[in-house]
Amino acid sequence: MNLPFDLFTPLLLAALGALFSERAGLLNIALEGQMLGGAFTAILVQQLTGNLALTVLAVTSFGALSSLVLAWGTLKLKADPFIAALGLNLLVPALTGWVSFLLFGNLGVIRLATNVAPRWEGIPVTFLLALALAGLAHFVLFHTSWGLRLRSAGASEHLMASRSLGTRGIKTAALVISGVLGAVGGAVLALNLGAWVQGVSAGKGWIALVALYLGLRKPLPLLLAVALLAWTEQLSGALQAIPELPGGLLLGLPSLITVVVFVITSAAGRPHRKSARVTSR
Amino acid sequence: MNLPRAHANPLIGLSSTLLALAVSLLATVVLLVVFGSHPLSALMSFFVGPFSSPLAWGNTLNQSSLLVLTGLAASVAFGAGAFNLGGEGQVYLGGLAALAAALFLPPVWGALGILAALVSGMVAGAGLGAVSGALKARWQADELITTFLLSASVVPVVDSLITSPLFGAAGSFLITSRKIPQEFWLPGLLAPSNLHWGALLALPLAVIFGVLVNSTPWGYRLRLLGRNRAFAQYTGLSMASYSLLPLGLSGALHGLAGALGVLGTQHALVQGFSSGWGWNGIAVALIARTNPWAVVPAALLFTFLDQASRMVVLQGQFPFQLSALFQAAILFFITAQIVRRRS
Repeated sequence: MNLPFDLFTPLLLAALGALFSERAGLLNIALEGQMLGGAFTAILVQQLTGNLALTVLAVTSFGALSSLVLAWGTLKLKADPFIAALGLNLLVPALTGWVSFLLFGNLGVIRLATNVAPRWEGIPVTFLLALALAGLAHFVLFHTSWGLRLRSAGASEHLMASRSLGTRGIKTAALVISGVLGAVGGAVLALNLGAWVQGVSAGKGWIALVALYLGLRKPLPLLLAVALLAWTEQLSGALQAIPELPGGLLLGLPSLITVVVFVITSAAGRPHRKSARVTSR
Repeated sequence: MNLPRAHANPLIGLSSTLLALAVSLLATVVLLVVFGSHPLSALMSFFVGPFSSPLAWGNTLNQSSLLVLTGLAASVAFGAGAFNLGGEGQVYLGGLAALAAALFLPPVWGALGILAALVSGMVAGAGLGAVSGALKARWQADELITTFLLSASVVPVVDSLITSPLFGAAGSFLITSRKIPQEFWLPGLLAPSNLHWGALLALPLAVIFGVLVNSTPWGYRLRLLGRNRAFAQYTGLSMASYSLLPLGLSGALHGLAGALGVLGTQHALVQGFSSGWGWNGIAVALIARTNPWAVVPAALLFTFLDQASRMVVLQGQFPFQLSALFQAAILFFITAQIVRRRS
């Protein structure tokens, strides 16, 4: 059976992004928009320059910039992190449509002439890099003092304040990491496909949030969670090839399975979203 | 949670909201001037367009009546401290339920049939919202995620049902269901605009919810829940029913909006007809600082700006969905504390 690399890698990257933001106490709901923006930036820059290094640079910058905007809104202007992120999620599809229209005169599909996703022994390099990143995330979060500070900022703002430690810097850094990972995840998604299609992220930013909780908010169980969700999505894709089954029901299937999985993990009493909602004043 | 709410000093709350609106409007106008092909006439159609004819007036009023409903829906949930991000699916499913009622009930039922169709829309929306409430009450599944994902799984199902033999029109290539029998149409007002008598429902509903939330013990408990969940629990509030109720009510209002769209405006279920209503309802509820009384002016203002941007785009003076940009800016700035409290 064909391994679902193409779904696994973007989802894992985005879920790692969700992990950093959630652990810092500022769950990043904007991942959906950032994946979409990353996908668009990747195809756009690749199409215009044909230079993969430039593409990576552009995608990373987009992720970081969009996160900085979000951090400015939520940490400086004290906007509600979820509402501001919803704003970002609405903004990105509008902007991609606009830029695509300005440059190519249409809102539709941009197709790359050549497939640029590099492979090693038949395995996508991005897959290996994403696995390595999961290991790195585990090391940084649980075996460095910076990781401890990040988790403390998420667990108890009061504790940090009582030690005269600010949390704004570390939360901004976590959001930037999150945005970059989300954007790169979207870029991998689009580059694997070799094309930009409107709405290509199709809810993967949200599924990444579910993977985060299913993965018990730890990088290594996260791998299993992402594998499970990627596999169910592939399954529903495979089922669509069977003409006897109703197509619409199957399109709804990944979201539905994700809800069920999410409810099961909630019922099993995994730690809950620690983000801003608890700090009601 | 950091949602805007009635501030001790109402002037600070209001000025903060107005400033957020002004910033968003300014951003939109700047874009219009910089990127529009004819800045002056674009600005003209932006500010004057929605008032230019009874047609434009009627459409603006009709659209804002629907936004009053989805705005009330969002504010009921927000007021109780719950995020309902599933408005899109709840509206759509409500539209489908109303369509089913109108297609399969005998047309001789007349007004009673219209009522039945509206109620089925409400029940369908309420059901979808209540599922998330129940999942939260029973298994602590966060409604922020379940409402969104349930809605996301419902939308493609409705999409495909519309064109299925059950609802679709044979031999039509449009992505729409059959027309409903004329007996179920809500009578029009102010022709040729698409305003209809059903739109008038929005006003009494806003009053009812305003009284319910602001002036009854039940509403007080709901607001208590929104302010401080732990404290509400200590006072002995049943967490189960107070998780179910706000999301169920919110879903019912969304469903009603969908049903009105089908019976009053489209007279069929057009694929994606309600796209954006749920998100815009959230924006309206936040502009109203989750107060039902303020939802009506907020919806009117929002619709005016939305229609204005659409008009500019429609006349080819701006190449993309300006209204989406404006909505994004509103959501981004509306909860920000641009006006500092003096402390």
